[in-house]
Parts: sequence; C-alpha cells; structure tokens
Amino acid sequence: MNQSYTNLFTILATTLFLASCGTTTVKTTQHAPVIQSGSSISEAELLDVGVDMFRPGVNVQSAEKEGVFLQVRNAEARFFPVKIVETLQGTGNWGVVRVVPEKQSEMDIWLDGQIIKSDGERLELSITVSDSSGKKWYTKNYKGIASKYAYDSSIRSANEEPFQGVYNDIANDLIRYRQKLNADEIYTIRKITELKFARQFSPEAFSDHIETDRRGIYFIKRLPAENDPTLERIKKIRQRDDMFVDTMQDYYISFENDMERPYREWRRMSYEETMSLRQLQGEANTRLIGGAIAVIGGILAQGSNSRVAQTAGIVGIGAGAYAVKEGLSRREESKIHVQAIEELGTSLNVELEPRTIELDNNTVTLSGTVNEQYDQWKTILRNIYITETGQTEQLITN
Amino acid sequence: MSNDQVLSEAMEVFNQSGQTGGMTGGSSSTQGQQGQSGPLGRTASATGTQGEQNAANSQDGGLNPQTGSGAMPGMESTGNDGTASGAGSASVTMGGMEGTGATGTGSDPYDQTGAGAGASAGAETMGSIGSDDTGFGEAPVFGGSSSGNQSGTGNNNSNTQGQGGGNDPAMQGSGNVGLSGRRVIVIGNGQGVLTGEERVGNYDRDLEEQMRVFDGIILGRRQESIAQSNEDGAGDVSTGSNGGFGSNSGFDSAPPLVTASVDPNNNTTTGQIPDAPSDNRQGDYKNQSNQNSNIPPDISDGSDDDIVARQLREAAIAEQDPGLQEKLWDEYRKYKEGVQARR
Repeated sequence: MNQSYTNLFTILATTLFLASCGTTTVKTTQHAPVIQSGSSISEAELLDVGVDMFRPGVNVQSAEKEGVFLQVRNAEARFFPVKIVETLQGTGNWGVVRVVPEKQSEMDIWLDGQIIKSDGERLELSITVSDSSGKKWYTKNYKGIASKYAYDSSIRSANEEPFQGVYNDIANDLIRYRQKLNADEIYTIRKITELKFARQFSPEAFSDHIETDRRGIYFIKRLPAENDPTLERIKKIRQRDDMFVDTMQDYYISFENDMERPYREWRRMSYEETMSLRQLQGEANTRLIGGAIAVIGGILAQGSNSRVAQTAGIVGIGAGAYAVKEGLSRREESKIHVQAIEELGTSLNVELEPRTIELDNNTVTLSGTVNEQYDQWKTILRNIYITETGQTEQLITN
Repeated sequence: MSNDQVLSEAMEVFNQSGQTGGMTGGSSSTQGQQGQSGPLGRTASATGTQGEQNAANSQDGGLNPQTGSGAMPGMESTGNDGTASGAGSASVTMGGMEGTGATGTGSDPYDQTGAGAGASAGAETMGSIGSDDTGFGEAPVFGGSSSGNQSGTGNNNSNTQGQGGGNDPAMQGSGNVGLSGRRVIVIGNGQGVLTGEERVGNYDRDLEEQMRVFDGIILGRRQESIAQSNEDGAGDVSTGSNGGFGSNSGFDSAPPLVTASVDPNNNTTTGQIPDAPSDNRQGDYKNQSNQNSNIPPDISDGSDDDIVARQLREAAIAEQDPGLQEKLWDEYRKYKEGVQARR
C-alpha cells in the first residue's frame, strides 16, 4: 500500500516539477552606470584609447556549425567597437577615443575584443586591454542578457541599447585600472606612444629613444629635446594622423547608423523567436519526460494490490501518453521558430554584407592614400636627417 | 657654364691600400634603372642641361689624381603621373683611363616629380685599377631653370653599371668614386650653393605643401562621408525615431558626424559638431554632384590632372557647401600652379 502511494506521489511530483521548468527571462533593464571621474583627471593625464575591430569569433566553417550568420557576425565585429567607443567618450575619462582598425595609428591604450556569443538575447565579449608599451593590463569576459523589455517598443527603455550594461562594465573596468596608475606611469605611456609614432616616421632620429625588453615591452631610453625640430615636424604629422583616424571614425559611425535599425529589428525579432522557441522546447521536454514517467509509474502501479493504486496507474498511463503526444506536438511547433530565426538571420546577412564591404572599401582606400603620403613624409624626414647630420644614406642604411 | 661651376667636396675617403690593378677593361654594358614616381603619382618633368662634376682625390699606389665627371648633355626627362626617364653619362678619368660611366638622373618622388632613369654607357675601357668605380654626375637643372634640384648617381663598376636615382631637391649630386677600394663622396652642384639650412628649409616647405594637400584630401573625404550620411539619412526620415540607443552613452539616436579641428598648440584633434545640415535630400545632392556647373570657369578640363589634382577636383565637385567648395578649388588651383611651376 505504501509502495503504491509512493509511486503516485512520485508521478505527481515529477509532473509538477517538470511543469515548473519553463523559460526564464530577465525582467529588468537596470545596469551599472558608467563611472565618470569628472574633472579629477587633468588634461596632461588623459590617455587616448584605440579600439581595434573585434575578432568575429567564427569562420566560414564554424559559423555554419554554430548556427551563426557570418556576415552578421562580421558586421557586429565593427559595430560593438563603435558602441564601446561611444560609451568611453561619454564618460569624459579619456582623451581621444577612436575605432582604429588594425591599429593603424598609435594610441596610449588598446582594446582588443572577440565576440564569443551574440544572438540578440545574449552577448558575450572577451576584452583584452594593453597600453602602448605593450604591457597587457587584463583580459576579461563580459556577459549580458537582454531584458524582456529591451525590445518592447511600448517601453521607453526599449530605445536603449540592450547591452549597454556590457559596454558600461567594460568602461568601468578600464577606468578602475587606470585609476591605479600613478602620474609617472601615465606619463611614460604617453611618451612611449609619442616616441613610437616619431620612430615610425623618422627611425633614423628616434630609434634610439625607445627599446623593448626581453618580454617585448617598450621602455624609454632617452627623451628627445623639447624643442627638437624633427619632433616638431612629427607633431604636425601626428595632427594629420589624428585627422585620418577621425575620418575613419566617420566611416564607422556612419556604418553603425546604417546598421543600427535593421540590426536592432533583427535582434528584437530574433529575441522573440528565441524566447518562443525556448518556451516550446521547454514545454515539449516537460511533457515528453513527464509523460514518460507517468506511463512508467502507471505501469508499476498496475502491480499493486490496491485498487486505488491500480486505478491511479491507469489514469497515469493515459495522462502520460497524452503528455508525450503534446510534447511531440510542441517540438514540431518549435521548428517553425527555428526556421524563422534562420530566415531573419539570412535576411540581415544579405542586408549587412554590402554595408560591411563599403565600410572596408572606404577604410582601405583611405588608408592606402594616407600610407602613400606617409611614405613621402618619411622620405622628407630622412633627407632632413641626412642633411642635418651630414650622414650619408649609405651609412644610415648600414 | 660659369654658373655651372662645380663645387665638389670630398666628404669621405676610405683608403684601402694594396689594391692596385686588376681592373678589367672593355666592359660596355649598359644598364639603367627606371625611376618611379612618388606614390601619389606626382607629375614628373625634368629637364637637364648639363652638369659636370670634378672630384679630386689623392690616391695611393701611385695613381694619378682622378677626375670624375658626370655630364648629362641635353638630358631631358619628362613624364606624367609618375614616371620619367632620363639618360646621361658620367665619365671617370683616372690616370689616363677614361670610362664613361653611369649617370642617373633622379627626381623627387615627394616633390611632385617622378624619378628619372639612369643609363650608363660604359663604353670605355679602364685600365687597371679599381673594381668598384663609381662615376658621379652632378644634378641636372630641374625645370630648366636655376632651381635645379636633382641628383644624379652613377655607378661605374668594372662592367660599368649605371643607376639612376636622386631625391634631393637641394641640388645635391653625390657619388662614389672607388678606386683601389676608395670611396669618395662628392657633393656639388652646378647651379648655386645651398647651405644645409637652406636645404632643410626647402624640405620643410615641401612638407608643409604636402600637408596642405593632405588636409585638402582628408577634408574632401570627410565631406564626402558627411554628404553620404546626409544622403542616407534623407531616406530614413520616417524611421529615424527607431534608431535611438542608450542615453547612458551620451549620444542621441543619430549622432551627428563630427568634423575635425586641429589645434596646433596642443597637438590635439577635437571633434566638432558641424552646423545644422542643410536640407540636402537625396535628390538634391545627386543633382548637385552631377552638375558640371560646380566647376568654376577658370578651372581646366582636368585632362592633365595627376592623382592628387584629381582627388582635389573630385572632392571640390562633390562638395555641397559653397564656402568649403571654394576652398577646395583654391587648393586645386594652388596645387596645379605648383605643378606648372616645376615644369
């Protein structure tokens, strides 16, 4: 008799437990605000930040396996850096903050990122920060889950970036690390940046000023004179380099603006479909497992001496069979959402690809023009060096 | 040729004793090296008249004083969009041995000129000394005027190889005369003497000029980008309200493109929100850009434009803001005048 009640209890408890295993959603849009140091950082201590284009984290082969849309991911690899740049700019904690693809300029701090996951519901990024000396500050993973309300157009917060919290966390960690540095360290980082830039344009004049140690970390050997005329020329060139970087920034901001609307729409729909899919899959699993257990329990109950237990067992078998049928039905239904997600991704893939290509074309063309010009300036500086020092080109080469 | 008196100066002599003789004569190979234009494809145009370089050098091993001379009679090289060719000859006389060596003519790739080509005609035999002779020519006159600014380089090896190449706008002719392992570097010019300071001044002017051109190019690109953005934005007016993102980022839904302003005092580039964009809709912009009426009457048809001029021209045509457009045209005019002056 006791055994029968135990079986019956097990069936009911299992069914209830499985029924409770639905989907969970984040229902808050709250996230940590960015830390703003205000005027506590003097201008001389402001560090410039460069954010390189992110690594997409997938390639052609793995994208298909993981169900990632490659063009969407490639576009995201350009989109997230802009978002982080905008967040950092908004803090006022930094000097110039720019997206600099392939580190085509010299910056005090570099943020490198890789996209680990991004599907509209979840965003996971791996961020590595280093300074111009080559010293790695830290590598950290950041995760964010979009709020249920993030894409609800009836709510004001729906206009906010769903993963702003992730960007804020990245910005906050960066300023926290920066706050640990003393003025000398800041000065050294800035000077190394300056000397690396100078060396790039006039290696003859500035290659002796910095060196790398065994670990490949730059250190300053000596400083040029404040009124060094070549350094003055290079400062003028650096102003042009800043303009070049700013122009690339325009391209990226323009790309972000172009991408924003279709991407957001995709993320919203993808989120909804993902939620529906997950709910259906949860329900299907619940019913399948619960139904199976109920059937097994019912069969076991048939061996009981108790008439009540036998009756309950019959009911259990019937209910279990029905649950299994329902589960299968839900599973079938979920395929529709899988298909919808694929269609959405494909559509966005097609929409973003030309924009990404255009962005890359613009940046590559501009970089090409600028690099040609830089080569000419390097030649002039070299000739000036030769003239001023009396050294011959041959000796320099040697 | 009074103005072409050569001032030569032996800058460096490496003595290497014990090498006498061994030079094989009779080689007469010719080899020239084609110069290349500056990366931006500046127009090359060089006219050489005549240069002559004498280099005196005391010698070991009983060699006679030698004279290296480079001459580019009537050398003329012209090119467009980056290539130019030139030919000349340099002769080295050593103790009665004369070799017609190599002369290179060069130009300044960053100075809107293409590099020249050197051709050697090592037709003369040289007696016995030196396996590494180098004849050195003096700079031809650039632009046919006294503002000569090229260097000629000749290599006269035992098989007389010539190499062209020069990049000194300060009229520097330099060369090696290697006899018995000696190397003599000769600096001279036939059109006037520039001090090092003056040469640096010339370089600085080149640098400044190129920066100005660069600024024009960048400005043009940024304006194109803004125009493109305006163009795209015009099509999104009805949906603009959906484009917003986090107030935490401190930006509005459609962050305006920034324009750079360089502060030369503190070496920073700052962003600046431009004036409210004009009501340029997609159609307006396209109509404007397609109209050749944007080209001022004094501007040529552009058929002889090099790459830089073309970029400036295109940027000016595409520009919507009349003030900015006029500035771009001014840059174009200045650049073209600069190119003309060099020819």
